[in-house]
Amino acid sequence: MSMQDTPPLKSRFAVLYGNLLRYPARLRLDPVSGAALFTLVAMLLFAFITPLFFENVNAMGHESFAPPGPQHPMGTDDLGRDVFARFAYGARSSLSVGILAAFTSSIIGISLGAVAGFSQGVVDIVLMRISELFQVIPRFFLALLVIAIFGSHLIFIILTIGLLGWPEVARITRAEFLTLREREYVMAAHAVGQSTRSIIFGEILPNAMPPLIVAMTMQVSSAILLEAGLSFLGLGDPSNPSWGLMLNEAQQFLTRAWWMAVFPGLGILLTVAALNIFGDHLTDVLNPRLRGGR
Amino acid sequence: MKGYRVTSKVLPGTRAVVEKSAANPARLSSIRYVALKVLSALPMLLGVIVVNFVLIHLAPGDPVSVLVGETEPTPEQLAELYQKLGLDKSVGRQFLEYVGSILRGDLGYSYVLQNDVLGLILNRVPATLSLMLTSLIVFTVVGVLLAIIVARHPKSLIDRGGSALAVIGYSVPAFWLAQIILLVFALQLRWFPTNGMTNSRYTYEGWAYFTDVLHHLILPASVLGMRYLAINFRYARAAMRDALSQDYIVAARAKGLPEKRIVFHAFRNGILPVITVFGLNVTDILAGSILTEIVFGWPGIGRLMYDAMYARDYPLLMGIFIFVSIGIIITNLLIDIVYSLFDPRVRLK
Amino acid sequence: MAEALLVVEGLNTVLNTSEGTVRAVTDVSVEIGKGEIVGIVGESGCGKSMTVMSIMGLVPSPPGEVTGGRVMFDGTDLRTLSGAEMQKTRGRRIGMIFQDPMTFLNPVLTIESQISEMLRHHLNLTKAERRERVIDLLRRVRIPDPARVVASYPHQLSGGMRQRILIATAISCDPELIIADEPTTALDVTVQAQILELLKEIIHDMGSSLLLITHDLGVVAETCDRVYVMYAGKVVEEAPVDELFRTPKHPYTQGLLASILRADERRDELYALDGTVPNLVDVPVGCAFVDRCAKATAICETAGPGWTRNSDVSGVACWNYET
Repeated sequence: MSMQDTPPLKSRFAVLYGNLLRYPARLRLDPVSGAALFTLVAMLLFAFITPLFFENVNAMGHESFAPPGPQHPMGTDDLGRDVFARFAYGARSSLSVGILAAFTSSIIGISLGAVAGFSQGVVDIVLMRISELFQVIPRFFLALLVIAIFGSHLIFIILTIGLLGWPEVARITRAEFLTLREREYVMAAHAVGQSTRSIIFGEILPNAMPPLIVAMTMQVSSAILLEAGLSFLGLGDPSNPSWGLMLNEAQQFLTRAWWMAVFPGLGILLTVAALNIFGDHLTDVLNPRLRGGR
Repeated sequence: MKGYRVTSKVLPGTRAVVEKSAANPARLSSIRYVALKVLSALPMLLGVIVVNFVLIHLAPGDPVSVLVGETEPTPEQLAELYQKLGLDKSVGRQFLEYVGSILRGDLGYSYVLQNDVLGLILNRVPATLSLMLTSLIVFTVVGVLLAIIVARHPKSLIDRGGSALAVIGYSVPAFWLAQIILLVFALQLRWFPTNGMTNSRYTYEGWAYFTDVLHHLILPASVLGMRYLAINFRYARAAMRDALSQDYIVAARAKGLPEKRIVFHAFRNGILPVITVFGLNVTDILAGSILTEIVFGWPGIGRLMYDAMYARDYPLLMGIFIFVSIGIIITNLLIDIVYSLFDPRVRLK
Repeated sequence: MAEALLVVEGLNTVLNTSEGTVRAVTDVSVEIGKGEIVGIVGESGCGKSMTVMSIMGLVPSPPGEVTGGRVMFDGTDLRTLSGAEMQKTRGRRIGMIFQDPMTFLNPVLTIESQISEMLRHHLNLTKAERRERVIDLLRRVRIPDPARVVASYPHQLSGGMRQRILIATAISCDPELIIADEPTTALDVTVQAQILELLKEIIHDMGSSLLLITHDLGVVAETCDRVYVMYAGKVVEEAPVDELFRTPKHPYTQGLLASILRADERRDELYALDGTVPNLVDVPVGCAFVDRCAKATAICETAGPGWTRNSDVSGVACWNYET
């Protein structure tokens, strides 16, 4: 391997781009994981396009508890609001919370994990003990406590969920860094005097990506579930209908209007199941070591 | 074929030697192992207390108003609270006193319910435990058994069906599943009661009480159990398949052992990751059980927490948080110990 | 040759993989007499282990499948036995020793339970009888302090000790035949010699037969009476050990012999066989060894060589060999 100089930024970008183009083929989709990916893409498009067609999702209608029909495909709720419109908005906020919270925990997790794995020693021990602590602390209870004390703005919910999810990402990053830093190309980069930063971002991080991508997928799904649970308890942001909030509203009308509960729940189930199936598939593809059967 | 003579050259006294030399070092290292695990759990405990302490002090307003919330305690109670928090002392001093009071079992006082927090929580423990343990035991066993059956017939119909069900089981929000089950089995079919742990119109005793509770228990336990079933099935299946592909299974087959014994060989190894994963999932499972309790009106800790949240009863909320965290730390400790019973490699390191 | 104990005739085993059908074992015929020690030697991937697994009825299916041949053991074709009958034969009448004693022992069960389970299922001994016998077996394989070792787990023992445990397991029901698949490969050189010596002695004491699978001609020379050389899933040469070493007939055997060092020789250059075993998916029409053979002629490319029999106990599959 030639290590005389760092490849110029442009070529590295080209390599990355080439990798992206090759990804669909490398995903080796089977019918099940293909369906999961399709569901995810469809749900994303739905969540970010449909709400644009509804002006006021909180607008009350004339007819309360209308069952699903041509006028209201998912019926109306106790205040006569269109459940479908709220479902679409709910999709947007649930997915946004999921993605942004996962993004938050990934940034924190990758930075701390990288520091721990790269520096080792005391920093490593302290960081890993903290991450162990976070694994023992009941995430849901803590989130509930924090939001009950500090209030339930959307940003706050995202940050709380994100802050609670980082240890998982950090542990994986650290483990990857520990193995990768011993690899020849990293040693070689050290030997030719590359800066620590360029070694981390140029050599180690790209190679640690596969397991991290899987971890991030799982972060999104657990963040969606966590948000739904919090909103269900009435800790969601009331101005932003999310699937969990809709289920909270549905609870007292279970007998009168089943549709208020069924559709938002199906939305969560479908999204989370698709994420989990796709995440499992990614694990299989990116991590042949873990694949079952030999 | 040569028959074997049982009257072989075993020296007298051999058996005594076996027992003596085998038991002692193993037991000693087991004790050391447990002690080590307990020691390493202590920093966790401290961490949980720190998190709680920081929360009280970070909350908007001063700690007293946070803890008192919207209630109006008597002047004596306020004076006592000031005294206890020691707000005039240094932060370090306050923290030490806080740790001290928790270690003494004082989790605070609920001004909303006018009662001791620990007492309030302990009252609800039996309900939560009876719900959790029932579904935990029943559905863990079912999940693992199903995985053992399926692992030997990969890609069969039952394997695919089980796997699909497992994906649903760990993707479905517990409270929504609870709602749907409630809707179908309690509200539509009217097979089971909708709410609570006992029928409040009657006071049953003895066997009648037991069946009444059981009748109330079935729906919430099944909802909770779906998750145990899914998680255990998923990991046990992967672990069993992995174990069945190992060399020692080839060796066991070459020994001419019956299929049952071969499955046992795989099971003793396959159960290990299941135990580990269970430890990692305890917190998720607990969250599921609070939400389930709330939907079914089950009078456990989850329901208590829900009420505390609406009443802005922060001392109770924080008490529950600490109590549950300690519960999880202890559970993890127990899991480590159980694991060491199943895996000799850990025990003797 | 002594009275035959195991006669394998025309054994064929394939592996159905996504890349195609791998012909792992092709027309293999092997014979082992009572009280005899017979070796099968060849490079890794030549089909030795698959031959053994086919004999034991342990070819993993899928992807593997035994497609033809007979495995006559003491007058019965093992391939016609039912699953339950075969189960009673394995371990009870044919014991097996494996290459890596670490992975072939169950890591979470005690040594005692791994030996005693065989005594329970095959011999129906009581608990006390089993305990006595296990200790006795450990003593027979020269394990010091057997009373302590029975209660230990595989990871607490050394590699040589673990291999002794595997041997004790294999001989626990006094089988008539023991199959050892590379029993010394995973061990230190010094331990190798001890284990081979022990194995020979135990086989001799029991009056059983041994089928020894190895890639190491040195092991064959020290242990075996007769030997089969396998290449690319086929037997290419069969001979008594001293004959094989004195006058190797197949060019492959000659190459193997030339590549080992002998203490009584001084050489400046080490000889190594060029090339590798061919891919068994697209088996060449001619002799499988043709690409690596110095003596190959036109016919070797187009047709597989037949079996030239020299005597009862020796033969070779090569176009260039003339009696």
